[in-house]
Amino acid sequence: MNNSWRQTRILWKVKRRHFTKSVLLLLGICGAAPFLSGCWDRTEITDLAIVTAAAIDKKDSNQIELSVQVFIPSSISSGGGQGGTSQEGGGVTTLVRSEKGSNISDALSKLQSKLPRKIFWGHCKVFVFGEKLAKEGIQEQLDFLLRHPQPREKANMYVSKGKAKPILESLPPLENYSGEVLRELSDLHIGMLVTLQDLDEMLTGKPQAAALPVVKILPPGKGQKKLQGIPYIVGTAVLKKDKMTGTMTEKETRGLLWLRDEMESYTVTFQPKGVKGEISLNPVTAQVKIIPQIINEKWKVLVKVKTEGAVIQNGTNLNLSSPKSLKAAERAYQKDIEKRIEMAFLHTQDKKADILGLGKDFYRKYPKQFNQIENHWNDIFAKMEVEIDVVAHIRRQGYINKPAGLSENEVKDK
Amino acid sequence: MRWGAFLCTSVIVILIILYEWPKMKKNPKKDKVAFLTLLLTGLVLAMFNLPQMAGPTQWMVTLFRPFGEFMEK
Amino acid sequence: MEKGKISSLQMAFMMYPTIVATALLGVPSITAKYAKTDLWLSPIFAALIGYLTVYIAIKLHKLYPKQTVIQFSEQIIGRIPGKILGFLFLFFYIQNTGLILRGYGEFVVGSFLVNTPISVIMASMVLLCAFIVRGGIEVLGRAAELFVPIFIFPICILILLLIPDFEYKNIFPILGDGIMPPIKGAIVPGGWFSEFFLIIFLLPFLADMKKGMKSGMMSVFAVMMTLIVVNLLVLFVLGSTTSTKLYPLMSASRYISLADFFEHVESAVMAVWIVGAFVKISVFYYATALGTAQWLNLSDYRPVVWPIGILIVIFSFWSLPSSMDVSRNDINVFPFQGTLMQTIIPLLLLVIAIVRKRNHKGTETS
Repeated sequence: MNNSWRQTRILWKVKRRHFTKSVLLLLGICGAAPFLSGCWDRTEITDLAIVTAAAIDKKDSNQIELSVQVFIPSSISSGGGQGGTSQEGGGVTTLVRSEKGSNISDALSKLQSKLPRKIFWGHCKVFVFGEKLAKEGIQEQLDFLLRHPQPREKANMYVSKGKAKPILESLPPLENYSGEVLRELSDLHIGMLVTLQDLDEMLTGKPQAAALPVVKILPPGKGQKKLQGIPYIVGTAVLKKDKMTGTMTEKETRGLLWLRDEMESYTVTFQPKGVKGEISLNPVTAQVKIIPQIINEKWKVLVKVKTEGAVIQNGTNLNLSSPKSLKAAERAYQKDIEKRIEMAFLHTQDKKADILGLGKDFYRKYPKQFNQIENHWNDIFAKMEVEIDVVAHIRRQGYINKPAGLSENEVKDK
Repeated sequence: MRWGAFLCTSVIVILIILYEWPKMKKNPKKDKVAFLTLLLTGLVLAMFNLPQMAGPTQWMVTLFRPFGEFMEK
Repeated sequence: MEKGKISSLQMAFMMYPTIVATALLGVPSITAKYAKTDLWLSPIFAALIGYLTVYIAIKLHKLYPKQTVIQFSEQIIGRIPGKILGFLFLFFYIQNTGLILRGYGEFVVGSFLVNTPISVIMASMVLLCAFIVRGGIEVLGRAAELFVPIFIFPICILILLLIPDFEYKNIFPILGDGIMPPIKGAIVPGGWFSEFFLIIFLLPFLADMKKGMKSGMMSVFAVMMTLIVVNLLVLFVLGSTTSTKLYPLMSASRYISLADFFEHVESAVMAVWIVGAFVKISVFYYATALGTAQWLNLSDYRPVVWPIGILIVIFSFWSLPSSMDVSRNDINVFPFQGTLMQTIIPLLLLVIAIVRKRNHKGTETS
């Protein structure tokens, strides 16, 4: 009896000690919590100026101008309830500040004095270089973007036609801010999509040439406010080393996209031989293979394209249901693609800049031979022959099987 | 001589002694001597401007110089 | 001195992050510098050092069971030379624990806590490690068992998320400049693999000694596979820029972006990496503390844990003014120093021990 009583007492004691121990542990854990956020690097979201896009322009006498588009958080929280406030022009969600300096970090430190919040680069997804700066070299500015821990390698890079700052200043009606417009356009693969990482890779890799999409402001329609023009992608800038040497038009850019196997969902329109009108295909899918060859010391590139499309508009009188007309249309389709690719290829050769990354392809297949000629690769590239081999098919023709609005005898069956 | 670092180290050393000493009462004398000597070594070293001072790491660099040169080629 | 027991699986779990944790982050870039596009081949060559080291350690342990290198080196080469060698080992381990700690601090300060003093980050890590080292080998083993899955799982997720960004062509040309570049690239990871010699401090506490060799080799193999996969990953994502990045895996993880909203996951990488670094520093710390106590013939290793912590922090600063010095040390000194101390010297010890035992037997029979 006595014994069991003593046992329960000991048990009690143990339990109590256990209890105090766990309380102390709990207190300890709770007490440590305030320290977990850190002391020196504590940042509150209300202390940050979130940069959504940045533009870098060249000013005279070795100065650059850095403009940042900073997101205004209160604009979202107040305007969100009513919805669509940006239509009235009252929903300005960003502000643009700019400052001159000898390089980005210098300008940035001056810019900071104009902004009450700490500049935060982590969400900056758009960097635009001014045309003048791109022509004089972007390497120095690129170093900052790659070295600083905040800017992200996934950010998209652009070159603007003329000055870059107005691109940030425009207030697009459909999206929240112009940086978002550019990003969305890039995601549609209208022009080239080049991220910071891609640019770094293009410049440090074997070909030492890069291509960046060129953006321009679409002038606003009549009756719209001056700032309502939106930026859009007009072509491609060709960079040799880090300097811009030329541009390619939209049409050439499309050929370039074919060559780089980056083209996605756009419409191909062509005219079959011997008939009036044009046929359009959409969507178009393609598999592009670039095969470098060295035959008898001659450097040559073979482009193999396998492409298929569905008819979306037929302006000719060809009945595509009949095999013969289809063949004719397919042949025209094939010729059209060939021409596009050839044009783009000749154009890049003309610029003597290997923006297709062919140097890399050659290095991958013929490392020894490439190492020997690495120094005059650009000359070899400029003289290189190209063979284009396109296999084109039309797979579907939509909801109607004859050209619309034509009577039986107007349609050419054969 | 960096007083800040030295002071911090001194505080930490005192805290360690306060924490550890009661627990090592039963340990032989040798343990206590080793404990105190090592602490003292740390304390003395903390007085110097360590990053700029030549030390074991520096000697290793000198010792392995031929290999280092091979790697830098 | 140490009464705890661990299983051989726990040992493998302890060794895996001990090698991989720091090798994941900086080593791919160093390997890429020498091996270019063949960087994924280098871990295969480097792992040979790992297999050799594990083999040596197990053989030595079979000759002198229940002893660590500090104890049996006195028996192999005599009392005074053994003490000197023991001191060299301890010195090497303290110095390298300091270097690992500094590498950890530089990474955290360089990419996340930019304004925090590095000494605070390193001191808090040492504090944590000191507690687990005082807890003994069982605590360490269980912590490793708990943390390694946490460590591996996010790496797998990372690989899956990066698949859309893979550029498989980056792997070519394979062996474009011959076999030499990947072999030269293997030197630095080889230094990391030589760290497997640390199992000599764990083997005496193994409950199932028979499986020791198997789990040691398994661990080396797991490390090799992880390094190959990670090297391929950074090669596919970063291509020719791999060697210019300080922390390629980090840069690659920053590249993740799924459907425009699942992005910025690099903090997860950091968290994982800190878990790994924690196990790594703890294992090194434990080996140092245990070795010091054995070298001084103390009755327990716990009293020296705290003082050694201070020494580790001091060594992490000593003659290393900048992070550039730390990474230069990782390339120019550590691979050779590590292989010398942890593979070549143990190999010599093993040879001497075998010869001695044979002679001993010979005199006995004759």
